[in-house]
Amino acid sequence: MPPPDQLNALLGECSLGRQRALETLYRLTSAKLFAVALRILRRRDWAEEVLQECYVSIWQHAGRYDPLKSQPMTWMTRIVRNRCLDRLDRPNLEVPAPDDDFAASWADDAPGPMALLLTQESSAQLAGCLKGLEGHQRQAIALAFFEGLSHSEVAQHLSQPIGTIKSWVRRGLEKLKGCLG
Amino acid sequence: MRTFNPQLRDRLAGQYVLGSLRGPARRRFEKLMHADANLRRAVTGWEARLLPLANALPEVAPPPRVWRGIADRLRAREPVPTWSWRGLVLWRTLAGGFAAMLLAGVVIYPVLVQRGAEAQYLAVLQDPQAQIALLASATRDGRLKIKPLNDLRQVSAQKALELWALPDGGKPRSLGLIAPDGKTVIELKTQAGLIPALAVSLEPPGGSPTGQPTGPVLYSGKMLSI
Repeated sequence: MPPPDQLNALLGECSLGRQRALETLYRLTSAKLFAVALRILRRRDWAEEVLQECYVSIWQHAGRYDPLKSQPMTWMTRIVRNRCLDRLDRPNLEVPAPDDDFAASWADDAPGPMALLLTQESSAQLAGCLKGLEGHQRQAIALAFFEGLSHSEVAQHLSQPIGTIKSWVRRGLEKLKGCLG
Repeated sequence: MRTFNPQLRDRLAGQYVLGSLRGPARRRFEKLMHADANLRRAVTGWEARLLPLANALPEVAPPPRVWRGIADRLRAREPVPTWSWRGLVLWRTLAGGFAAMLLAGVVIYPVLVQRGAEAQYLAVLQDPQAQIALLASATRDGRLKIKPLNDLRQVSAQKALELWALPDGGKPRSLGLIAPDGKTVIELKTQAGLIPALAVSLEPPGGSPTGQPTGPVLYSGKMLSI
């Protein structure tokens, strides 16, 4: 994971129109952001398209990035996620079903996907706080976050009433906030 | 405008960032967010908390065609924003020229005539997506008025919008800072007819420290004689 200072500097150069900086930024961050898009959209062609749109958008809006407000990786992840979710909200879209194993792996207490969170400085605390959640809360949160499922889709996927899912998500988020500050 | 109590605001912001708030509810939330700084703050807080979750995904390298596609799009869209003024203006003229002329003829000209202004020149400034952002008009003796169509305070944020005259072949010349949310009147030191095009760049508060544009060019447009 590249240090935030380096990414900040590259975004600054992008805002001055230096395409080389965007190329370096892409080399350092695209594998991470592609993974995010691929997981939400579940189709490689869409994920590739969205990734292209996002780096063009990062290039155009680099001047608006404010390092005092957010980490560079957070800022770029937001751009990618929002674009993916916008695409999922298009009408009549045939989206492949989510990967059951991945979602299930968040429900139990085995290290699973949390192991990777622990290896990164920026997410180690988050991993610790996620451990404090009930398994079903963690799973509902993971389905919404990674697979881009709405409340009602999470409800379908876990065969639960939507009210139950909403309260799992709400309590899970409250607990995370309490833990993370 | 609907406002939320702090608990509800925070809960919705969390769901928005998580991604579980979707469809029309998500779009409504985004609209409210634009108008509500507290809501934006709540969202920024949740982004800092939740987006590092993305670290749980193993990296997947995109195929090389993705970068090639990005490089192609940058070339097609906007040759290097800061230094390639002529290319930029040419591109804009080709892409948006027709729309701009149409707009100038149908919409703006009658408005100006009606107000009795003796405007002789018009410029329609567009962003790289060819969305019209500002209208400028100038009289022959060099009084230039420029006005954003929408409130650009979101765009300028803590920075300044600086207006530039783009001469053929020469360096851009600063015409001063413009208001992001209302009309600005500028006395030109030359005849408006000698300015082929205008551009607006994003600069540090107070304007470019170098006398040349240092930030991205947000809008530009050709000066049209009417």
